[in-house]
Amino acid sequence: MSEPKVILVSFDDEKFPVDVQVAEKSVLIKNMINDLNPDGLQEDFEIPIPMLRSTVLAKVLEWCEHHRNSEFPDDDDDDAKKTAPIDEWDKNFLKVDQEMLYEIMQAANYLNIRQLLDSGCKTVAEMIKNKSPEELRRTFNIVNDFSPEEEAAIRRENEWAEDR
Amino acid sequence: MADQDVNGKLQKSLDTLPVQERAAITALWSTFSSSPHFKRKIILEGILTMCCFSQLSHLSEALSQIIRVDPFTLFPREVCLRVLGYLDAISLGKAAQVSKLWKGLADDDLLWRRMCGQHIERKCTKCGWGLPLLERRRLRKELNLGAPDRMMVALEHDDHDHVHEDETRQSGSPEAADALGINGHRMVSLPRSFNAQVAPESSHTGASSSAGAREVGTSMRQDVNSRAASGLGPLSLKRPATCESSNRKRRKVESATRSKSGASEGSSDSDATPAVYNGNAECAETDNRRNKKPWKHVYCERLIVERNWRKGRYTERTLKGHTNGIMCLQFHQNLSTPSYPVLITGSYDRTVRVWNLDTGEVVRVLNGHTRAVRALQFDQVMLVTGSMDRTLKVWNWRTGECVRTLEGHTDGVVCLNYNKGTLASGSADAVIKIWNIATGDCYALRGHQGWVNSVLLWDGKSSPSEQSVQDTSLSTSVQPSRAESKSFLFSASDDGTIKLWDLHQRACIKTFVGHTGHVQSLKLLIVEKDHEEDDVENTPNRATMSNFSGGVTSSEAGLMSCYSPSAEMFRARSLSGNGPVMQSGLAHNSGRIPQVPEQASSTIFNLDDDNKEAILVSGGLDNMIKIWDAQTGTEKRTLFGHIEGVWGIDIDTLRLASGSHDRTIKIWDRESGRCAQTLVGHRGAVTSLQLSDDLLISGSDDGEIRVWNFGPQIIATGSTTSVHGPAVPSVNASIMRSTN
Repeated sequence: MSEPKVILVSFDDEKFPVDVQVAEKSVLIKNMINDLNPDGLQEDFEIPIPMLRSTVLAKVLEWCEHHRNSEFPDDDDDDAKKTAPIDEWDKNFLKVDQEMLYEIMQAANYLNIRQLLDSGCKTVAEMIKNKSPEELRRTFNIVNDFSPEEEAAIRRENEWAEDR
Repeated sequence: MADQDVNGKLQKSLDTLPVQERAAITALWSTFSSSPHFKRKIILEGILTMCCFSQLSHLSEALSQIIRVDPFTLFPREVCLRVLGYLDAISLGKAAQVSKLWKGLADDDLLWRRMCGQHIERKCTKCGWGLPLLERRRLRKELNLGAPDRMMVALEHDDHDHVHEDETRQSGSPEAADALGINGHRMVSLPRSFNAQVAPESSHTGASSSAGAREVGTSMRQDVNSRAASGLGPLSLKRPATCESSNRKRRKVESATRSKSGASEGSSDSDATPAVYNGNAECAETDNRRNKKPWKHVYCERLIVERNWRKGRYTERTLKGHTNGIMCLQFHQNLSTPSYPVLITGSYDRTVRVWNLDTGEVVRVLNGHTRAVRALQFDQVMLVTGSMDRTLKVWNWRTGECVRTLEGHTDGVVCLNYNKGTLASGSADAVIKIWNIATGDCYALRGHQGWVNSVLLWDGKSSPSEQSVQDTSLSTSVQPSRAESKSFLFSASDDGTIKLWDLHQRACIKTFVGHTGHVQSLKLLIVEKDHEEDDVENTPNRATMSNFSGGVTSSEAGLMSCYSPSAEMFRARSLSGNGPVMQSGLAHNSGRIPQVPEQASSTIFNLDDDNKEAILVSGGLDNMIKIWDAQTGTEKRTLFGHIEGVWGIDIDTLRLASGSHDRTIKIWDRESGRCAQTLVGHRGAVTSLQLSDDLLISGSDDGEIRVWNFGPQIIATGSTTSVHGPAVPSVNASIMRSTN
């Protein structure tokens, strides 16, 4: 018999059989496998992921599959993390609509896949960068909920940001 | 997703249709809207198969417009902050104006604290921006008010900070977290007597005692740790694991602390690296009642100052009082007393003047020298002046009393520099003298073939620019004893050379050749290594990496060549990419100088941080400013721009300033060598100047002092504010060399 698989089940009951190595990109799943199978996986192991719809889970697993052999630095060096550009493959992978992007990020957050979450955060940050408040509202469909007085005060407070 | 425009348009198109069709469409919609999710999906997929490409294209375009969602309404706060953590300050400032939700996130204090950590007193590795550190002065004032008691409070609170270590780690640089971690250990590991030991020191001199106390803390801790490690003594209270981790942390922080200024001088004075910087932060936080300034404000204030420097926005004030050219000046903005910033100037009019920089008034005139005052240096306690009358005088500048006169030079004294009890002076007689200030004993260093215009003492480790504020007596008493403390001197001369002397051997060990005119001024700065030159070190987080340069590390090289300064050594070094062997004293000293074997360049200094290097900056009458690698003696860069000789230079982490005979002051970007600003206003040669975070003060041959203020409270450009003292008769400049 071949290696036992991890079978992830989405909200809409779709089953995704994947290699242990791929599933373990998620720290949550990795812990779950280890906790429930102290002697290692002997047979296929089904894990329901009820908060993810199948399209999102498919995307997340696509990422895990691609990065199955990627080595990520373990330490949480802030400076380095901030400086590093988005992984080129991730960048293309995350060229999806906002809804999908956010769902992937929420999934990465829930499943504890730090590198995917980081790429997502960088992608959103790129969408925010160098935009005026009005452009930001348009980009993200946000209603300006400041009163005119508040808005004026906040603009004054952030005047320094206008002048490069 | 309801949009007024869209709904209105829809209504209109619907209205144009016959009633029956309207009913059909409405029914379709209501079927869809009353269907559960999975049915909707079926309906949509069915419709999609019916669409032609133009319809799909329409859909595709519409979708990209419709799917716009505020991500921050979906994410938990920590994910939102993670996103914002990737933004630059400007984008954060804009994001704060979007909505209440966004403001609440984008103004997050931890976010801004990290932003500060990345930029203040260092250049951010990402954006290449650095911001000045202004907090030092403010902090000092705080400490003055409360020292020494407040010090104790601060220390006790460190435990409290330790609790928040995780929080800090999340928000600050790793060094910062480590610094806090260590401080957390401090109270645990130190015996009670530590307090007793600090208290008398603290009463000494308000602010700098905090520096002292910190340093004591460090050395004590070292002690504790080493005892614990060796399992000795009653001090080993901690579990081995803790001990080890704190050792690790200590090393990290120490290197961070020392790297810029620190070694022997108290660390809080350096305030430079993030570790120490966060030392400040922690103090500020300890005292929430008095200083609760959001980090965003801290950042913005500094950003504005930095912009003022970049864009040449300043207020200018002229201080008048001297009746002849000004030759030397120094100011301190952060003395514990008096409360105002102090400027001291020396002039061809033979006087030394002490100024209150807040009011622009002369507080005291020191008379005594019988010819021009050419050089001065002062600290909390004393002032030393050098004059063309061939003497040096030591003053109590607060009272105006001349404490001691040092005689020995056979011609005018042109420059001086002291550190702790050692005073170096350079003279028109081409001799350098090294004095023991306390005893008046001295010895001479001979080798220059012209006036010695600048001398600079250095311990081979820390940044000398930071040493001067320290109270002499305090720093000697607090300094942890170092088995092999080194002592060096740089000197610049009319003979066009810069020499490096080892004061233990009392001999010249290097000569820097490159200037083609009189070399007038010297400054030394410890900086992050210039990575253009060593390709090996391309990783972004070099700060946390240990020594990994491709060849012989400086310490290894040091050890090796100490024992065998052989030809192999030199070869090994040049292979390892540490730069060419410097043009040595051997070549240029024509054997008249007591000569020691030329050392391999990397053996001379032992910087505490392998990722730092010492650069020497010199200005000369050949109109050039040169930046040298102090280790190797290689010339790194020449700054061109002044059209006449350069008299005075000053440098800090962020910029370089030069004053010239061409009556201008230029501000340079050290790294690019680009001239950022040219300040005009002086009516004579600019002979001397000093930089601070937000001030530039220059003295000129026209007898005037100009205070260029780049601080955050600037209203208009270049407004001359106050004028003090009697009007100055026009001065014939140019005769800089007149011995008056």
